[in-house]
Amino acid sequence: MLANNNLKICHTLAWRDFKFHKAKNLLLAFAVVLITGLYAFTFLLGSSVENAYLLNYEYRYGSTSHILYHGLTAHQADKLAQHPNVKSTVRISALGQLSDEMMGVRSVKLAVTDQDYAESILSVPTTGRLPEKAGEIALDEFTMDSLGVLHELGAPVSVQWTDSKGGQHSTDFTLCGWWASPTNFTEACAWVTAECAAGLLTGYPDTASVTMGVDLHQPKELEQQAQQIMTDQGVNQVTYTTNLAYNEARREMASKEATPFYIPALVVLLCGFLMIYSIIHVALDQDTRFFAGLKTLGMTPRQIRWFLLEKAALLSLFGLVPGWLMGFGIQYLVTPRIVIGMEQNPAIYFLSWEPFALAALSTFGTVLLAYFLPAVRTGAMMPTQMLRNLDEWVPKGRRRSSTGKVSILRLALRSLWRNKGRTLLSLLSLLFALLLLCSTWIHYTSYDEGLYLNGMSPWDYTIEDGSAASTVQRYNPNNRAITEQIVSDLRERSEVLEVSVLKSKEVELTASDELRQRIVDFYNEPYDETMTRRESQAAYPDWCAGLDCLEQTGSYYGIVIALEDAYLRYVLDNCPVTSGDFDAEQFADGRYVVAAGAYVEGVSSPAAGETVELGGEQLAVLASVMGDTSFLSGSNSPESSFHLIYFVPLSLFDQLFPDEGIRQMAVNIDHGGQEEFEHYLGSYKRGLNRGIGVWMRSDYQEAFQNARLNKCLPKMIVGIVLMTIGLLNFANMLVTKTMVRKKEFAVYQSLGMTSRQLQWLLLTEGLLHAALLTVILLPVTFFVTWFGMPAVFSQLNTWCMTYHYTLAPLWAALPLMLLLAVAVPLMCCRFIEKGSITERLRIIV
Amino acid sequence: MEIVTVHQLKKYFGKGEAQVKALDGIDLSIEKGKFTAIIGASGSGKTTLLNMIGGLDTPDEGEVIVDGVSLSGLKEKELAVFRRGKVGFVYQNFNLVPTLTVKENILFSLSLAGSTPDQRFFADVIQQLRLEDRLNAYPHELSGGGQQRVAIARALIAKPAILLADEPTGNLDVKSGQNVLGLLKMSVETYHQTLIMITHNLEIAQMADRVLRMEDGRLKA
Repeated sequence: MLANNNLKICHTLAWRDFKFHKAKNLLLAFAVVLITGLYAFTFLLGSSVENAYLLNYEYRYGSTSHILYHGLTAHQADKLAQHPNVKSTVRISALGQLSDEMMGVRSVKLAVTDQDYAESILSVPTTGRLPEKAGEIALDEFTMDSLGVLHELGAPVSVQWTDSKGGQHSTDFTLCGWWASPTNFTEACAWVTAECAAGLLTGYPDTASVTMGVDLHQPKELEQQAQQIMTDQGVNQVTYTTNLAYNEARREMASKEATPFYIPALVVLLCGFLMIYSIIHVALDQDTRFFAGLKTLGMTPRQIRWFLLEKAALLSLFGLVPGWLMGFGIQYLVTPRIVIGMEQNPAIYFLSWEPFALAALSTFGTVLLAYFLPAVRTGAMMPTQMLRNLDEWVPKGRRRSSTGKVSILRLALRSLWRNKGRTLLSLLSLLFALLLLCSTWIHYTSYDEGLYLNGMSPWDYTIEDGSAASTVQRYNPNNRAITEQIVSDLRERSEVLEVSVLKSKEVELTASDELRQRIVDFYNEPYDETMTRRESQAAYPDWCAGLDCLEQTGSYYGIVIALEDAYLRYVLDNCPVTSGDFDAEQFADGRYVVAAGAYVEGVSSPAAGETVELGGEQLAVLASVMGDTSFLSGSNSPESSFHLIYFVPLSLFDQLFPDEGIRQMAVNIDHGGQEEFEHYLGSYKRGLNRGIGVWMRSDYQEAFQNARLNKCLPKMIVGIVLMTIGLLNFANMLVTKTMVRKKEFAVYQSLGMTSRQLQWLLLTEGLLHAALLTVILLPVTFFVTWFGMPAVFSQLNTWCMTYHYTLAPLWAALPLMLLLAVAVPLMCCRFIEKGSITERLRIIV
Repeated sequence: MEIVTVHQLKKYFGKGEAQVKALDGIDLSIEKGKFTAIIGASGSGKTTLLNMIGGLDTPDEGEVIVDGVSLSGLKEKELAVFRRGKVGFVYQNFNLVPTLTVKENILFSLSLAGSTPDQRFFADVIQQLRLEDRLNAYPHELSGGGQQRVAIARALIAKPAILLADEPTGNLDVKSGQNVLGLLKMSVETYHQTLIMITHNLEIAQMADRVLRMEDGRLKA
């Protein structure tokens, strides 16, 4: 008996199918390229977003090491490094910590240069080099700006530092290199040579504190492993931190954040299946006949399945490389718009093989599904049953009385009701695509850049002193990166409408008994049902100490802020008055201040009519306001954590505190000159030998565009894919309806229909199909979006949106559909007229 | 000796008022080694009967026994194996696999089972059917008669007990038709097979050992 299941013949059949049906398989290969490309793009983008979150956590941690052990001796470090779980280590010997009061809350180690460790904490100089001889030091830009160090190689650096035993030191160095480390807060280092360290710290290296970064073989459950390594090696009483990027909760969070970017893969699956299925469907009758024939000759269901599996595998294989390239190409262009803030293109930086492999597997699965479903449907059928089930159209319904005369239009109209399933499939995919695209486009265009820019920054540009470029830096008035000259230069530029300068000064003041009592009473009032306002600040010990000091001695810190123009307008617009009235003329007069306390209703500062002594001058309080200083760059000293604010005009400030530096500037420009102005600012910043921070209008615009794209891109991609599939389905429907009637058209021609009449018939059919779909798509899309979107919009609750209704995707899709309705039937004409009429009449249908 | 036994075979198509009785209680026995012709008008149930005997369709009622095997109890794979070995089909439209060469088409049933052909038998068959020079050609490169000769060779190669032919000469000109018929008769005689053939041609039917006439799903005497 011939009972074996030989699978080799399936291989031959699959290969020959490619050889003999080149056009169909080329079309299928194109579809596979498209599907692979979309899968690869989706997975690469999702992976990049996920990895970007992890990188961000790593940056926040400040090191690429899995575990950082602090305060080790060299012997302890050696022991920990020998643990079998440890893959590799990097280490530094720290002399102590920079302790200049201007360092604010930042913690910077003074450590001996180690290239590997520097790389692990992203602290390798990008300008200059690491120190090579005694007396040289390399710093990060934040530290330089906080200390007021010039951005010049060879610049003098005076450093105050504290060793591990609490000894205070002051050492002069020469700057040999620096780097930008905007997010590297926790593990900042100032590099010196070992030779220098030996001169600075008695008993070095034995007295130095070692910090060791450890990379593990298995970076999982870092906390347990860190503890385990210490226990196993008998090293106790050392502190350690673990990398946030390997924290399970963080990884889950990154995965959750990236999930929306992976979701389009489901749509690619659905659309890809529909696309392949609909292409296969064109030759369904032929294929069914083929399978029925194979079954007749004794092919088993398993052999048919294997044959389809091989076909799907070969097809997927053909499309893989171009699909991967296409996916990578799209992600190369799109990812930098979504993952921002990286110097290198994130598409390259996060490139890995896994998304490509996943895309290949998904493509194979999709193609297999499209091939298998019809096979499964017919698999259980007997060969003759398969042939009986072929999709032969039979007119149904009531017959109308007719003159018997047949016109082209009437013939074309009859075709509308054939293969209703395919028409419905095409209609539904187009409808879903249009609804998704229109709603996403309404969402996208409703984001209001003006609202966003106003919300993010009340002015076009903020230029801030380098020592106040981040909130963790303490403003150093001696840095003086912003000069009167640049203020003057800016004011003279034609595109500049307004330059507003802000200066500040911390002063020690003494409150009157009345003021002291008022403030103490204010903070002793209930914050909520469980605590007082004072108690609500328990997490801020410096603040609490400041209030205690005021209560006990009456002394407190005042922050005098000099304002003009844009800054003053901001205060007046955003700080509700709690006593008195603001009078612009009186304020400008130079004898008044505006006092600000907490941003809570009630007077928590000197009230209107009271006086305050600033810079030796008695000044009257014109009004008191709720203090909003969110526009202030950098931070103040930890001692002034509890403070009262006094807003004064710039002229008065200069009179009270002459020679104070400028903390920041707000600049408004004519937006027509934005490009020119930003070019000027860029040149200015590069030419400066001190650090400044510049927040450009284009930065906010870019952030707006990215945020908007971030919100809408996944849905937009899905919509575009769905629309492509919808249009392909539409074209495919026209092709199918035409090609399966080859014999019918031969009959028409045998009865005297000319080629031109046949072309008109097909063209009319195409246009009627387009018209039918338009008649349904247009009102449904309009009604759903017109009535549905306002409701969706009200749920979005986004502050930077203004509802904007548009049907642009529909207007773009309709001409495309019309084009296909004309082009596809005309192209089909060539194929259906191939061969003589008698040859075509012999076709088995 | 009976090689095919059909008992009370019924097959219906459609439902309700539109139901058609394709086979309406057929009882039939066919002797081994004989040439049986089935004639009848279109729609009389000839092809349905042939399909039932070949295991290509399942009856609604009744039983088909071929060479001692009852087809009603066979599973899909068993039916496939039955079709490979027990029967050879020859169709009016040839049903060749267009992507396979003549040789591959002839050996297809054996290939499905992973069997190697009896080389002498293969050589004998292709010589008898005059296909020696066309073994590497594709079906579309052959004439209608040539394609039908390939179909016959394919039907014979597994040495089946029965040859089922559904109007094998229907798509051929008179000369080719006569050739094919001669070949079929010769094969049956040479290899001791049973031939069951559907035909509209009374001249061909007269060459058969037995003629069965079908009308409205029933056998007429």
